[in-house]
Amino acid sequence: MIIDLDLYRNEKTFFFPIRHHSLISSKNLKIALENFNPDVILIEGPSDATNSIENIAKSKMPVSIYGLIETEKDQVGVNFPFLETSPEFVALKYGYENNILTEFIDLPIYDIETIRYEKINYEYNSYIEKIVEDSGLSCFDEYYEKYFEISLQNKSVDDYLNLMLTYCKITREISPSNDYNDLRENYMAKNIQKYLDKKVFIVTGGFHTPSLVSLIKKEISLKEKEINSKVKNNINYVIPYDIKNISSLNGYSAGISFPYYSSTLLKNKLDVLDTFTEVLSSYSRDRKLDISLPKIISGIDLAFGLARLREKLHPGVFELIDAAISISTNFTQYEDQDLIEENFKSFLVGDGFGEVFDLNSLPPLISDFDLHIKKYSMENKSEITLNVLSSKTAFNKSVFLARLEFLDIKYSTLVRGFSLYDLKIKDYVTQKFTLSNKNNVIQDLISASYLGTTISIATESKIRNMLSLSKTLEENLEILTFAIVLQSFNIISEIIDRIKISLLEEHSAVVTSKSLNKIIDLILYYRTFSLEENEELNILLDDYYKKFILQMDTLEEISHTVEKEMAIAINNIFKFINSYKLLDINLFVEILYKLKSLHWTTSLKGISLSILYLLEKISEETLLNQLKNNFVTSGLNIYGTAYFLEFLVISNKQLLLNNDNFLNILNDFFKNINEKDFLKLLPDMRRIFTSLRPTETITLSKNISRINSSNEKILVKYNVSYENIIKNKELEISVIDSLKKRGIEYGNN
Amino acid sequence: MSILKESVEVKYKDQISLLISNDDDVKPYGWQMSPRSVLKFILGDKSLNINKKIYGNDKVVERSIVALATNRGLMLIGFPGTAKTMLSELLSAAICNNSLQTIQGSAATSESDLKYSWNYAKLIDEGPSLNSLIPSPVMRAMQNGNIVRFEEITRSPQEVQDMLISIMSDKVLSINEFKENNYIFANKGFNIIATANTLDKGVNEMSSALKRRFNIEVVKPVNNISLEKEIVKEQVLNLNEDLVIDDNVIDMLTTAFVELRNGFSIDGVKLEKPSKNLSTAELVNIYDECAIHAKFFNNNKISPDTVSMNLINTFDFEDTDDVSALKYYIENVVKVRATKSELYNTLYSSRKEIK
Repeated sequence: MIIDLDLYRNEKTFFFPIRHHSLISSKNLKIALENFNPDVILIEGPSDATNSIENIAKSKMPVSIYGLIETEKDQVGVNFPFLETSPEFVALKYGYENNILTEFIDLPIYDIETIRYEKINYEYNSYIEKIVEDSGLSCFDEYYEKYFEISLQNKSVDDYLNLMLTYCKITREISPSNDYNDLRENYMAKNIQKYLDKKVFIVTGGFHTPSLVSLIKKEISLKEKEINSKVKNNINYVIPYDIKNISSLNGYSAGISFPYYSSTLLKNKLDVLDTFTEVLSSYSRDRKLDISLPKIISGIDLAFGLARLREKLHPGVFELIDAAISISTNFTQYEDQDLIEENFKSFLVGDGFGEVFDLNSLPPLISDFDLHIKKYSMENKSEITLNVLSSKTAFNKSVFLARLEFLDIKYSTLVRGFSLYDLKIKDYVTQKFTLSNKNNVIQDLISASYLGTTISIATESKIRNMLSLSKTLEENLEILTFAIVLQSFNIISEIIDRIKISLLEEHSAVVTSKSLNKIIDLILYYRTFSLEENEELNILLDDYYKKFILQMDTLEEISHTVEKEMAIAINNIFKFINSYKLLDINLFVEILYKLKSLHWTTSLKGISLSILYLLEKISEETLLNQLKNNFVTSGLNIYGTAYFLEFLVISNKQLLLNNDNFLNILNDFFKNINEKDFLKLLPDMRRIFTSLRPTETITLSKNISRINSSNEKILVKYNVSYENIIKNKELEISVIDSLKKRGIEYGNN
Repeated sequence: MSILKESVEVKYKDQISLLISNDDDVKPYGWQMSPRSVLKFILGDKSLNINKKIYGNDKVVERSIVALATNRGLMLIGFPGTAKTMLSELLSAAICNNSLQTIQGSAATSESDLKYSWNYAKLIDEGPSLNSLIPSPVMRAMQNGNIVRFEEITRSPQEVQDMLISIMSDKVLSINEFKENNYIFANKGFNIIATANTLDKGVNEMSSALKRRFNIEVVKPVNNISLEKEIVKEQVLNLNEDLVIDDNVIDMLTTAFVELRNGFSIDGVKLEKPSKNLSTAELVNIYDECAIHAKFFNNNKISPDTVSMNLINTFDFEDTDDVSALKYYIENVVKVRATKSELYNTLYSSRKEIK
């Protein structure tokens, strides 16, 4: 194919084809620009980011134009990254430094399709696959490196133009047409037409160059209103970019495989020997491989030999990889050369971020994050301990960190204490976090920027997105938990409405009881942290309660495991009703009467009797009679007896601590079962004793020693040391006092 | 009488001649063909109708050729049966038309195997002279400027291995018994290809000084089922053209080997990896035994029982971990396939034979 270069460059216009991030494109572009000396430089890039050109030119690469696209459902973030080696960057920097009018000319629409289409054009069409296969090279990148980056290094700009345009014309001819691509090219051509009376230099991907040359001669009509309506809500920022992201297809025509290698090559003025020596020495130091200089020299020698074998003018990155594999393989143990290759490739990618010159161009979410960490005095790589019960500020800090975690911004790690999502404050009242470096989360913050301008708004948006996708009652309750813990109160009504609808369709008493428990936990969470109560949540609680009562009334036989879950739920519901008087207790009592009489119940029977006794609805005599009737010490029903006893005690420890009759029955039960059965029951029964507080352990020890004439420290002996119990007792008293100050009753002291 | 195994240079004499006559590239000193032609000889060339001889290790082959061309020794390591020896033979045959200058490493390998020994009758008669000296393969390679192969180098004692250090560094061998002219200088083109298998790595640890003088390349097993099936077919026919080729049996055995080697089945079941060597060579051996059994005892039809027993018996029943890996494979992968295939069904039924 013969290329008429005059079509592409004449006295007035110069169409310069590039491959994004290509060093050889950058090198020739710079020479062409200097020779052509244009009045105007037009670059393929989002035209609504033209006002960011100065900022990009003054920034430290890599940076990216980060566009937020408004889609039907959502906002999506898309990157248009620049490296030091990107021809677009070279062009805009040249324009800025030489005071030349420089503009982006592409559609202001950032579209995920654009990215995919660009990549397909260059690498994944069948023609390319065929030529790569025929060349005997491993991939398109190696093909491009061999025939462009390496072969063109000592050639003229015209040689570059000829080869690049030939390649691009063929690629273009065999690529299927695409409406979106046509629209982009028309848009770019129309922008170029505005400057045809001046000396204009146009930098675009080589794929577009041939068609732009002919398009500018035509009259172009664009549906500009339609385009503008699509993009009117799009916003773009200039952000620092992660080198690792550039190495993957994570952004508009990114995909340069080894940015660290490219930048080292650029730094060494494309000298391969210097570059290879620097890269291999750094690799050896960085990975502590202790590769000697003679070994490095032999590696470079090997790379040059391989280049000759592969008919390349000089070695490139693929030969460098071979050299690294060869010199890193040491026969002391089985060497996995695939692993060495993988490690070295990741080294060639490099590490680090660019720096944006104008910080005002960053997405506001980053500023909001900055404001918060300053406000909360959070320092990089520090540890903080938050006593969320004693201080409102500590609680707010904890919520802030929880919001970041929810937004996948990996700024903190909880190393000790409870998670706010646990809802109930149990063993610890403090949380200890380690904080990361702010710079390490910049990319996470940028990725979350599409959700909103502040951490609070972004959190709410993400919850809203989750709600739009949720289907089940459990999912909706989970979302409600997020909304409450993360204090996204604006969306709670909406979630509650969804939960009410799910509730109507819920027929399982088990699910209802669990859900009721969850709502109770959420209400208690409000109270624990002195948050303003949500009336709608109280109404929801009432709805659930009624549904629960209705379902319990018609409960049919269920497995022991499910029954135990329900018994736990009933115990929690009772504690709540008893403490907060928000629900009608009479309905609850009726249900307990019913449950205790059902022949198949075990744990439910235990919990029902226990509560009824506590409420003085049944006498001690009735309770003990029921106990005797449900007392089996052998066979399968032994489990039923165990569950019955366990739940009888769980809500009513006083039975265990103050009632010798009950203690005798329990004592007999354990004495009469064989060792094998005892061991089977142990995991469940031990809960009776491990749930005791230190003071209760001491009381129970005394009671047991009285009944059995045994050592008073019998429980202490098998539990923890006596000193520890005393210490825990003191701690417990201080916790109870702390909770009391917030109006929370903890146990029956 | 026919020769059981011809040397590589004899077997591929025509291909070597063809490549030499078509070779316009620069040849390293002492080489009969250019590195690119060596590459074509080993990895194949459609235009010259030269078949591919080594699979799944193209980059290793390239690096090995270049290492030899840059006068560095080449050490090929890998599991037994990964075609290290074959690669070293092919390289020697292509480069210097001689794959037979070989030292076989073993506990009995001595200094004389690496340097020289004496014809004692002549020694007594003439005293130390070139006439009474018996050169080792290394010395011959030095004199002729070609390649010597050192098989299973780590099986030989370390002090013997270390004798190579001065030979590889200084390219000279001294004959202290001679009063004058007591140095043999290596001619250009002299080089060493050593092999060592990674399962025997602990036999005699190689010194760092010697390792530094080699370019070490790891030859990997072929982990592509369809490619490995083709290799098995080709190699079985190479062993004996009369043997029956049963695609289903090859498919089943190759699939089992690849799945066990990788530690997961093609259906995604995670498996235990046996420590046993599951090389292509081992696979060829199993199939060969099945086919020979069929030829002499079963009208040239491979029976599923023979396949199952040969596969099972290749495992060492003393190695409890390997036996457990095989049992797990049979229970979790073979069982599922047993309903659809007689071969798998028989293998599943044979699980009782695993002790």
